[in-house]
Order: sequence, then C-alpha cells, then structure tokens
Amino acid sequence: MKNIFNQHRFIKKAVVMSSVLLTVLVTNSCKDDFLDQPAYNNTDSDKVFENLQTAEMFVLGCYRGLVPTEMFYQLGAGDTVNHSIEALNNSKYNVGNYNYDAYTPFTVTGIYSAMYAVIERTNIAVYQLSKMPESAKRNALIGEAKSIRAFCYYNLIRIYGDVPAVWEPLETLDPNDQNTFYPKRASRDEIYDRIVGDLQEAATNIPTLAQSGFGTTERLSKEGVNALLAKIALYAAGYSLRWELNTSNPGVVSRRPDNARVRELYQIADNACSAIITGGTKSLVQSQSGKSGFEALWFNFDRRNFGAVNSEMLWHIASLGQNTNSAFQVYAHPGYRNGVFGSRSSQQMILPTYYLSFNQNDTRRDVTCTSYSVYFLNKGDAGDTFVDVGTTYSAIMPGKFRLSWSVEPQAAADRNLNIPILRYADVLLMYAETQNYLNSGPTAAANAALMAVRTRAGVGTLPLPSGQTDFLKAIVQERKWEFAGEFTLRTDLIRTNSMTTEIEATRQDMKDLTKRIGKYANVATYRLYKFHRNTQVYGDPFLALPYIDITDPTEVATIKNVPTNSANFAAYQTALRAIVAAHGQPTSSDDKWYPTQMFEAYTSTFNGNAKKAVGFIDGFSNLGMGNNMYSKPFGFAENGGAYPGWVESANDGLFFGFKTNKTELLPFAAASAGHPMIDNPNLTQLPGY
Amino acid sequence: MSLIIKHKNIKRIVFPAFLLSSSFIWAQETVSDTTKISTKVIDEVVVIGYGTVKKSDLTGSVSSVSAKDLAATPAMNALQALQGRAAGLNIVTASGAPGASANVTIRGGASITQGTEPLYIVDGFQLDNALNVINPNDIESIDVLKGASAIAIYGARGSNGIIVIKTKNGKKGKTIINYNNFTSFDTLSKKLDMLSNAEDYVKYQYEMASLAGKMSQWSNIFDNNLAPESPGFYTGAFGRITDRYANAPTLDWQEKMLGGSGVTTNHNFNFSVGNEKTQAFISYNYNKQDGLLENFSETRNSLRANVNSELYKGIRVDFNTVFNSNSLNGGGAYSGMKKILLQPITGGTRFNLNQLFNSQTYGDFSALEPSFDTENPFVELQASTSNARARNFVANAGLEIDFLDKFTFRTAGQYNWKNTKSLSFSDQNSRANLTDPTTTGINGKIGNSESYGYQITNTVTYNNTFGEKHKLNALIGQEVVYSQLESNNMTLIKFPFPNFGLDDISTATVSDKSTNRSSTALTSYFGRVTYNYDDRYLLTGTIRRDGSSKFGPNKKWGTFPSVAGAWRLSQESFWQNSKINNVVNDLKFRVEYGVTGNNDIGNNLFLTTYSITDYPMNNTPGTPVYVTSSNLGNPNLKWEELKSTNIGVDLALFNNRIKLTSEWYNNNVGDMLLEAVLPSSTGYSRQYQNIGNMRNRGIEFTLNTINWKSENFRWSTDLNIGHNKSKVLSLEKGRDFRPFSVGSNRAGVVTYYARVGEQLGEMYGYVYDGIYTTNDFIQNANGTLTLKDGVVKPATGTPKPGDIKFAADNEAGNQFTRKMVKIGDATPDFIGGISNNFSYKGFDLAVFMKFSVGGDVYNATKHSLSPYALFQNVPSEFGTNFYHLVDPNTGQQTNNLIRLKELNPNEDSRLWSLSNTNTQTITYPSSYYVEDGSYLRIAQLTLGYSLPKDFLRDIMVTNARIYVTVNNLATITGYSGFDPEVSAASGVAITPGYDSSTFPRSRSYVLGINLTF
Repeated sequence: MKNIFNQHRFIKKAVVMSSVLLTVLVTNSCKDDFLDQPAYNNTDSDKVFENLQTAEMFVLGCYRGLVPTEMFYQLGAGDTVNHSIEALNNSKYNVGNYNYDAYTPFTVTGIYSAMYAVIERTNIAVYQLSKMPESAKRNALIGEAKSIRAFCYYNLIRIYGDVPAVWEPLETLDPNDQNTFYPKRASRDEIYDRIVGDLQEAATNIPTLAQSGFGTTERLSKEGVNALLAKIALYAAGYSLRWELNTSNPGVVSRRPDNARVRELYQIADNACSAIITGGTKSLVQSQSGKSGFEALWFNFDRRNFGAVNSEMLWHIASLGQNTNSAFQVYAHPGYRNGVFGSRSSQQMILPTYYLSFNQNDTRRDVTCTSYSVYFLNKGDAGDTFVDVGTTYSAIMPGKFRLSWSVEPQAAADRNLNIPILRYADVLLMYAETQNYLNSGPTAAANAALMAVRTRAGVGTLPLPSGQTDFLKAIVQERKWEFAGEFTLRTDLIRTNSMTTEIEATRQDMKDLTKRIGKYANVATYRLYKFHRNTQVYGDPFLALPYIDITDPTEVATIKNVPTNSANFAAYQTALRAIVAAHGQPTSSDDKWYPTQMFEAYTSTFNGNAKKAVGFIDGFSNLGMGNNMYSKPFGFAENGGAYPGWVESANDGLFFGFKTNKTELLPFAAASAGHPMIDNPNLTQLPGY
Repeated sequence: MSLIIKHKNIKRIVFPAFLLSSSFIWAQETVSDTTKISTKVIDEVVVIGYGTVKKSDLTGSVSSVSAKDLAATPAMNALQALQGRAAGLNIVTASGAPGASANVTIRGGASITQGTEPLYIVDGFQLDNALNVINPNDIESIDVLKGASAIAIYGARGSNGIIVIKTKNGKKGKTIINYNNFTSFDTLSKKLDMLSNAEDYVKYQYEMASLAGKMSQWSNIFDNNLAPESPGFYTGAFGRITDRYANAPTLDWQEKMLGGSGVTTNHNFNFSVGNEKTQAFISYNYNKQDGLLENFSETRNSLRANVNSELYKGIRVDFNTVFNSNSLNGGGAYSGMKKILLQPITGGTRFNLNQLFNSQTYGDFSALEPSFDTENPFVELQASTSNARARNFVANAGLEIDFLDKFTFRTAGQYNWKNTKSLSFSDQNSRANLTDPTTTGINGKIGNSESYGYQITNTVTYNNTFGEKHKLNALIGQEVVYSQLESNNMTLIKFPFPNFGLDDISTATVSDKSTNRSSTALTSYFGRVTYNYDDRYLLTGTIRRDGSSKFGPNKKWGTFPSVAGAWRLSQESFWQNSKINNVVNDLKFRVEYGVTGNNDIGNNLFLTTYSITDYPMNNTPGTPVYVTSSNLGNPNLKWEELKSTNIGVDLALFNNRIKLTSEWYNNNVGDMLLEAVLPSSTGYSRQYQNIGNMRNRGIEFTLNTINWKSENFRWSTDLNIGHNKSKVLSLEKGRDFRPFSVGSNRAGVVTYYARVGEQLGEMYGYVYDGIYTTNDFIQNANGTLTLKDGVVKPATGTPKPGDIKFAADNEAGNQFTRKMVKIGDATPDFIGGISNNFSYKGFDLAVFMKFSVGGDVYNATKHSLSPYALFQNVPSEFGTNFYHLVDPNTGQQTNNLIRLKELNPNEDSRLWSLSNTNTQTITYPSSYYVEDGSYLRIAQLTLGYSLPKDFLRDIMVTNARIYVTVNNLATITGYSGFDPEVSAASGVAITPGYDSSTFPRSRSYVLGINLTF
C-alpha cells in the first residue's frame, strides 16, 4: 500500500487537496444563511407595514370575505319575505325555517370563521399601524380597520349572541394561555360598547367620499361609518336573546339591562344619522329616464353604474371576478334555465303574502318581486325562444339582483354583483326610529324621514301613523318593503322585538291566502299573463310582466276553455285579447296572452295546456328554481282540501322550527372538526341545543 | 456425530413456523448424504447508510430483498415488486389505475398527519418517490432500514424508515446481455352486484319518485311523459311498468366500461461489460400499460448507464446517470367508479340504450332531479382527457481515495432535474361544458413544474483490526442537500372551438393563473463507530447533527444519536464446541436504541405569511391587496422526534436451511408535527404545532426455509409477518381527541378519531340497528302512527316504518342522539406475505400470497351507492330488498300498518325505505358500512421454464426462460366491495381502511421471456 501511495504521490496530493478544498467550500455554504430559504411569493407583517402604501393595501384586503354566502343564503330566508325553496331536509331549508340543530348540523358555520379571519386581519392592521408614525392617513386607516372589525362583531353577535372577543393579533398573544387559542364567549354588551367607541373615533378620522377621492362607496367613507355606527348602536340598544353565560338556563328576548346606556345608544345612533342627513352629501336615487327611483337604484347597482347610486349606497362590498366575496347572485333571482344566463336555480322565493302586501302604487313591488321566470319554448337549445314566463303564487321570485340586469360574468365561478350593506334609505328609517324613541313619539323630523322613503317609492299618500308604538310598527313594515333581500330584515325583526308577532302573523296570512279568506278574500284566482320574449342579453332593462287579474265569472269561463287542439289556438287568443281590451289594456293582434291559475301547481294540467296554447312545446315543468313548491298546488282547495305541506306541517311547514326565546339566535355547530363547538372546548352552547 | 442424531433432536422441538413447512424433516434426509455441513453462513452484504456491512455483523434491524426475488416475476414498477416482501413494510397502491400512487409505510409510520413515506436512498443519494421511478430490472438490492441504529445515521429524515436501493453495476469478466420481455392482459377482477333487471329498476324508481313527490319527472323518463293527473296514472302504474319493462334490455355499465382487457408490454434490455479495472452497465426499459378504461394508459422509458473504474490502485471513480420519461394518460387515479355504477340502466321511454350509452344525458337527468350527479362515464372519458408527462434526469459521481493505509476518503455529488407537464382538456361533450356552456364552456388546464436539486456528501472512513480480535470501523461525514421547485399553472376557459385543444390557446380565456417557487436546504454532520470483538460482540454508535431550512431561526438544528449492540452467542467457544452448534448454526441477539427526526413539512411554516391577491376595489378588477394566509406561523416549530428501541434475534438452523429473524420494537414519537386545526375564532384555520406523543409497538417475523433440496427439485418458503399497534399517548394540552373526517355527504363519510390511549385508525359514527318495522308502531284511530314505548326514538322527528334505526345512545337508553361511537378499527392484527418457490429441473413455480387479518374497512363505495337520487342505479341488495311504502295496487304511499306488513314480508331483514328521511339519514357515518377487511390474496403465481443449456448453446444463448404469471389470481375475503386492500384516505396514518370507490385492481395474465446472451 505504502509503495503505491508513493508512486502516485502527486496525483493523490492533488486529488486530496482539491477534495479538501471542495469540502471547505461546501462547509462554507453551510453557514446559517444556507438554511434561510426565502418564501418567494409572500412576505411578513414587518415588511407590509413599512410604509403607508402597502399598509393601505393590507387594509383594503380586510374587505375580502366580509359577507359569506350563509349571510344571504341561509339567513336571507326566514324574514317573512324571502323563503327557502331548497329540498325539505336540506340544511338551508331548515335554517330558513328556524329548525336549528348543532349536530347535523342545521346552522351556519362559515360566518363564524369568515368574521374571525377578518377580525384577525383588522387586529393586525390596528396593532401594526399604531406603531407607525402618526399622520392623518394613518389614523384614517386605523379607523377603517376598526370599522371593518366592528362590522364583523355586529354580524357575529346578531347571529350567535355573546361570542369570543379578540382585540389583539394572535402573534402578540401568549400561546400558552388557554384564551389565546380557545377563548370563551364574552359579553356582547362589552363588545358593543367597545366597537361603538371605535366607530365614533373612526367617524372623526375617516374622510367623506368626496374628500377621499375614491370613486365608489365600496370603501368606508365618513358617511358609511356613521351609518354603520347608527346601525350597530341600534342593535346594541335593541332586543336580542340573552342568557346567563355561566348557566344553560333558557334565554329571554330582552334589551340590555342598563336603561341609561340604552338611551345613550339611541342618542348615538340619532346623532350619527343626523350627521349624515345634515351633511347634505347623500340622497335617495330618484326616478330617471322612465324608471322609478327604486328601479333606477337597483338597475344601476346591478349594472355596476356606481356613480349613479353613490348618493344613496353608503357602503357596498366589492365583488367582481374571482377571489372576491361569495357567490352572492346565485341563490336569489327569478330562476334561469339554459340560454345565455346558464341554468341557475334560485333557492329562494318571495312569500306571496309579502307580494300582495304592497300598495298598488308602490314601485318597490315589481323591483323586489318578479312574477316571472326565464324559460324556453322548446328544448332550450341555442336558437330556441326564451320567455319571461308568468308564474303562480308559489313561484314569486326575488328581483333586486337579476342576472338580466347584471354585467356579464367572466366565468361560472366569477362574481358580477356587489353586495349592498348600507343605504341612505336605511339612515332615514333609522333616524325616524331614534327620533320616535328619544321623543316617545314621532317628531316632525321622524315623519319627514319616513315620508322621504315612501315618496320615493310612490306611496307618499299612505297615512302617517301617530303614537310611538304605531310609528315603530310602521317603520318595521316600511323596512320590510324597502330592504327585502338585503340581509338585514331577519335580525331587524329581533332587534325591534317583532319577530314572534311577524312570524305568527305571516303563518296565519299564508294559511288565509291559500283558503282565500280574510284579507285575501278578494285575491284573484286567475291571471292573464302577456307572452313576453326574454332578450337573452345582459343589461336587458325588462322589469315586470304585464298581467290582468281575472275575477269576472264570464271571463273566467272564457279563459278556462283552453283548447288542446292547435287549430283552435287562434280563436282562443282572439277571445283573450278581447278580455284584455275590456280591462283597458292596450293590445295588438301580435300579442299573445295565457291564463294562469295562481293557486294551482305551475305544472298543473290547466296551466300547462294554457302555455302550450301560446307555443310552449316540450316540457314546461322545470323552472330554474328549487323545486319544492311551484310544482305542487298552493291553494287549500286545489290541494285537495289541505294546506300545502310547506305552508303548514309539523316537520317542514313554514317556520316550523320557530320557538320564541330559543331560535332568535343560532347554535354553534358541533358535528365535526372545523365546527366551533368541536374545535374550542371552552365555548358554551346556546341553551336548548 | 451424525446428522441422524440431529434429526432426533429436532423432532422434539416444535416451532410453530415448522407447521408451514411440514416436509422439512423429510427434506433433511436427502441432505444427510452430503459429507460435511458447513456452519459458516454465506455472508450477504447489507447496504446501510454511507457504507455496507456483512449481514452477520449487523447490529440494526434491516430487511433485505435481493434482485433475485424481484426479478423472478414481472412487475410494472418496483413498488409492485416489493409488496409483501419485507416484514414491517406495508405498500398499498391507491387504485388499480395505471400510474396509481402508493402508500408506503414502515412499522406504521411515525406521524399522524404528516407524511409517512420513508426516505429513499439510491446509490447513496436521496431520491424522492424512488420506487416509482426506478426500473425494477435495474435494482441489485433493496434494504429496508427499520431499527433505530440503522436509521439514525439519516438523522432528521429517518423516522419513517429508510429504503436503501442499490442499482446494478457492471461485472468483471464476461460480457452479459439480458433481454426481458413480458406482455400482460388485464381484466376486471370483480364486478359489483348492481340492479340489472329493467322492471325491478323502474319499479324502484317509481317508488323513489313517489316518495319524493317527483312523479312527473319519473313519468318524463319512464312513462312517455304521461301527466300524473291523467286518470289511472297511479293505479295503473305498476301494470304499465310490467307491460313495458318485463323483458326490456338493460345496459351493464360495468361490462361496457371495464369489461374488456388492457394490455401491457414491457421490454428490458441491459448489458454488463467489465475488466479488472473498469466495469460498465447499461440498461434500457420500455413499459406501456393500457388501462381497462379508455384514455387510461402509461408509458415509461428509462435509460441507465454507469461506470466504475479504478484509476490507480487506491483511487476509484464511479459515475452513474439515469434518464426517465413517463407519460400518463388519465391521471393515475379514476374517481368515476361511482359514476359507472350509478348510471341508469335503461333510458325508459325517453332514450333507447344506444342513446343512453352514447350521449351525455347528464343535463337531461339532472334537470329533472337536481341530486343526480353522475355524468355519462363513456362520453366523459372521451370528452375530458388528461396527460401528465414527467422527465427525470439524475447524474451522480463519486471519487474514492485510500490514504494513510487505513483511511478512505470519498466525495460524491449528485444533480437531479425533473420536469413535469400536466395537461387536461374538456371538450364540447364534457359535463363542464354542457352544464355551463357560457361561462366555462370548453376548458383546459396546463401545468408545468420543474425541480432541481443537488447533494454533496464527503466522508472519511477508517478501518482497522487491532490484534486478532478487535475490529474498528469509524466514519465521519458531512453532507448538504438542496432542492428547488418552480411551477406555473394556467386554467383556460371558453374555447370557442375545440379542434386544436391545448395546442392552440390563442382564442381561449385565461381564468386562473399561478406561479410558485420554493426551495429547501439541509446541512449535516455525522459520524459512526463500529466495534467488533472477535465476531462475538458488536457495537455501533452513530450521531448526526442536521440543520434544516424548514424551521425558524432558533430551531433549525437537531442532534440525533443512536447506539446498538449485538451478541453472537453462536460464536462463543462453548457453543462452537457443543453439539448444539450442529443444529443452531447461528444465533444472534441485537439491541438498539436511537433518536431520529422528521422534518416532513412544508417550507416557512414558522412564519405567518402575507400574500398579494387581487380584489376589485373601486370597481377595478385586479386591484392588489394583501391578505394573511390561513396558516398561523409557529416560530417554535421544531423537529418531530422518534425514540426507537429494537430487540432482535437472528437464528439459523440445520445448515442454514431455516433462518428466522424476529424483532420487537417500540417507537415513541414525541413532539409530533401536527397540522393542528385552530378554532376558527383565531382567524386562522391551521397551525403546525409539535403536539403530543404517539407510540408504535410491534413484532415482526421473517422466516426463510429451504423445505426440499435435491438435485432436481427444490422448494423454499419465505414468510414475513408484522404486527403493529399504535397508541396515542397525548395530544395538545386540554384535549384528549382529535377528529379527522373523511369523505363528503354523498361520497360516504366517516370520522376517524385520534384519541389519547387508543390506537390510530378508529372509525366513529352511529350504530346501525336495522329499520323501524310495523311492529314498532301503533296505528291510531285517525290513521296516524305512534311509536310504541321502549322503541328507540330517532334524533329528530317522528319515524315511520322503513326508516333507518340507529342504536340508542342517551343515558336512558331510549333515544338516538347522534353521539359518535366507535364503529370500526382499521388497524389489522397482522399483515404479511408468504412466497413458495419450487423448481424442478428447468421448471420453476412461484406462488406469492399476501394477507391481512383483523382490520376493518369502511365501505364508502357502498355508502356512496346507497339510494339518494332518482334515475340512478343502486346495488341489488337495495334495489330488491328495500322497504316498500308504495302500494302497487294504488300506486300511492300507504300508511296502513297491516298493508305495509303485507307489502314487506320478512320486514326485519329488509333495508331501509326510499323516503326523504332516509336519503338524508344515509349521509351519516354508519356501522352498516363497516366490514371486516381481512383477506388472503394469491397475489402472484408464476410458472417458468428454462430451456436446457445444451439446446441453447448452439444459438449463442446462455439462459432462456419463458414464464406465465397471473397477478391477483384470487382473493379470499368476506369483504363485499371491490377489494379490501385499500389505502389510507388521504395518505396519512390517521385515516386507513377507507374504500373510496377507486379503480379496482385488475387481474392480469402475463406471458414473458428472459434471455441472457
């Protein structure tokens, strides 16, 4: 061995030396920076809050995910206006009918996680911004973050009651403290007091829309913050289901016990509304280019002409394209089958009692409710004729957010509709309410505020109620007419302590309507709808289908005589047009009309034959709607002398799960991982679940 | 001392293992003719970390599989070849589809939620997914390192065990050329029993429609769209069904889709050439596998070349390079089994069978029944295609220098590069396009990823013998490993026209796009000392210090020591001199203890990171904003630590004809890396934490016997059995369980609990207790039903006959309240493999069987096939034995107990009714779907014949062997699904035994030839 070693000494030396060198090189590169491999496409909090520009980008990011789907999908129903038309055993149907259950679960879970995700982000923003040098811009950003946080807590409290309160970013908390990861429920009054204070501070620091130079109210402005302050102060002062946190005794719907603070909160709300009203920068959208004010508001909002609605829309959530907020528009619309809008099944309907509650001059009815759905004549292939087809009472659909009014989405998963949160009309009605409360009855200012809303809607002639109680009732009713489908009515009914009465009244009204008794004694059974083609174009301003209610027995006899032989279609149309003319409706010989028995199933033989007589060829039975109700008879008589199951039955009838002092709040889900009751052992459940 | 005496001795000893080779005694007699029996074991060499060791000197627990074992039977890949061959090694392929991934675990794995994949070391270098990448023909040996001492040299990456692969090198001497070829024909091994009679099917549909209030939808398909209001619609319905469907033909979708056979062809060519100084080996392999399903196939090409050379005495170089190319059509898994099974078997009056099979009827059915969720699999397979191509290049080189007499310095480096391109495209007939033609339309995805990495290892070895008896081997080393991954992905929608597919995307719209880049680094120092005294006492100590980029600034480094000792009792002089030595040739006791780590987590999890996303503020899409990630960073995140103890005995008997190795181990995992689910009130969904402790404890036996050995006939048996039992020792503070739900409502859902004091793999759900029958009710005067006293009440609502009944779980014992209880345990009592090899003259026969005993399987396939939507088919047991609520005379639901009893003979043995309540209730995890997954599978049977050498000599062939193999010949099991051998649901140890309707394993018939020139 030695010998050989000597022989190749030079080579060996060279090789050994170079190897040693290599080793040294490698060892050098093994210093700790070799072990610091960067995250290439993200960064950490220190870098983001190095300057105000990136910090602002972070605050803007806090708006993402603010309105999870459940807020208008599950909780958009059950407000005595919108109703779920999912399958009867479906979780959404159950939540919409107050049948909660933590274990299946029939409750909501997404709101909880979404709100706390945003709360954590706002906590980071507040903490980090506070460490930056003081400036007006910085203070405005802190105010903005605090306002968004306030909105999150307000949502959590109105859904769950007392909830965990987290005010600092998690990274700054002690991971060994139980409360860091597993916080208990905290008093809602304390949370409300803190966020009301935050909003008062924010209202002084945030610029008005005009000052901000921002083009839309997708970002909170001073006016938006004041409106949010008023709203939250009213919730803080209002009724909710309360129980002793350290017991599991049933709760009671009541106000917070400290009356002085209740009054103070009303005063805060009053001041905030007053600041907006007297500020003079906001107003209701009024009628323009042939559209009523209410119609112009929603048409332009859906069209994303935000400049036209900035005056009234105080805050709405940006949602366009991917990566934004939830699939807002998918669940509440007239229903579409095939064609340019795709097949979209509406999962909510409007209760016919609500549809019938409008004054005939109220322009809000046909914007809020559609008595049509979009369907096709033949098979729905390209080139088919699509129709805005008239429906029955069990298929009156939500109308504020129609695909036909919207801009075209880029892809199926994309969004094209913003989410309205606060409107000037809300400020006016809140102001009317605070004035009424603080002065134990309506003041002139209260009356003026209510009248402003009514006049815009075309019902300025309705009588003004007097007395505190009646005035409040009128406001509750006005809110229903004004805010259907805007995700606030359900909890507003609790706040104003009118939920039980409203639910019970609506149940009775629905039963009376199916029997056509009481105030529904004169509701027409038959309607003549005008045949109307759907243009299949995004942006089609079509509002409502012309119709004539038919009550005259002779006319009823005529329209009931639907021919089944196509040879007789023309004569039938002539007879129908004569009826139309007799009702003073202009009609031409090109028009076609078809009768609909409003209490039968949309798919009944009569209704089907009537539509065949105007050209429907293939199946006309499956509208783009959850299919529980419209394909079954609605009327008591039409249903064989029984209420339809969805109106009255123990296991799935209208609001069948509702129980006073129990269902005003929702239980935390407890079925599996990811649910609050499973993930957090320190949480306590809502009594009764 | 004659052998006969030995015989007598043995006859008094009863080893259970001998029962498996009862002919042993007789075989021994044949051997007795030989004059002298050598007690010296022919020493195998075992490849361990950074070196090799003689098997007899081994102190750690290692299972070896040689090329001989692998080569005898054809295999698509090394994973398949290795299945069931080593004790404690469990390989389960996820499905029978070409290119399916596999779960590989050693001794149960060392983690609950993190990967349990072992570390693969090929020729000294880390190579991810090696068993899937390396051509089995190129493998010289595979050593599975299991014990603490063997794995500790790999420190931070070792806790899941190590699979060390050595590839073939050129041999000195004669040039050898091999050519191997096989062709395999794959067929479906089992069909599920689905409803196949048209009349039964339509009646079933009628009842379902009737209970769901969807009569007009039913009529639309099955009854000429007759209006339900028509006179006699209901009363005449059953008569019309019989008239129309009594002998109507139906579609057998399983037969249509999977009834054919897939063909696999494999060619392997290699040659070895070498002289004293330099040897070279080159191998090329081609493998093309066509799956049973259309557009499912895999093509592999691999080329390997290596050279070893001694440049000068004491200076050696080696160079090795591999290029692989792999093209996979169809994605490696098929999630559409459920869709095949649930397809309507008749199109009723609406579609003829031809239309039903050839057109995308999904839109028609789902328009009538929103729950209908199964698109036409025949159309979809052609409409939605995918291709994944991977190209892999590895080159490594090493230089070894002997110096100062006893020292060897080795430096070696490797560079690896991998490019993956994945494409998927859905054309105009796809479900995606048909359901959303305007906003999604014809669409596709393009993904590219490129990774590269290097490893540099430097070691110095010292080898010396002092005096006669002291042998010392010492190693010190240093290593760096670096890898980087870059990828980009694009989703394209709204192709106006499909003709060029993804080859022309100019007219499509980009709906989603992303790039990603990450890198990791590991740097290490390690050492090992082995001391051997007189081949009797063996001692090994190792230590390794690793630094990893995956941990935060203060937690990057970890130190992992181990120690092991062995005593070869059979080498003691008293043993050598006693008679027993003639029976027991070798007896060795081993003990080892060591600490290893696991850093199998993503990068930068110690940081809470902020990323940019777009948000359409100010009505402007694409406005950039910052958001936090859903993972909360954990700056204190540190190594998962495995403390492992292993005790082993190696025994060789009767001239080494019986070799038995048994091991006991105890693996304690501490500071487990767990992706903890944070309560959502934290604002984050997850955080990686070091939570709790877990234990794996088990025993393993490996028995190799030569049962018969004579001139012409030889029979040997290799058996391995492993038993592993895990136990969760603790979880994070204040918690004693952690649920992991698998599946979704209609896919069959079950929840696994990791519960302190219990083992992993326990399934939780509700206990199925049959159905409510008429005997459970009283009919009131007004017709309504009241539940009798004492009958268990459901969680909500009022039950009716035919409703599913779950066992009571409240304290009073009279109500089901949905408390989850244990319904199954997926951990088998033991698993193993047994292979018998026979040879007679030129014939060889190998039978390889695998078994698993005692583990439950959650039959999620069956769960997902339980009735829930109109028009879909169901398994026969539901379709013919469900509880009838509809009276055929009236065509309407009846509530009358007497009538229901008449309609449902043998009420108790029926399955639930098709009511809305039940279609909801079946989404619950239920003990009804838990089945015993024990099985014994004849996994492989090979019969070969080697042609006589005399005959071959003339045609220049050294060896020629032809063979036939049947893979997956038969499975003995009580399991009712396709296959009881199922992998963990998401590749983690917590959720084993979940049968999620994957592509079933095929049975294949193989014809092959091996030629050596």
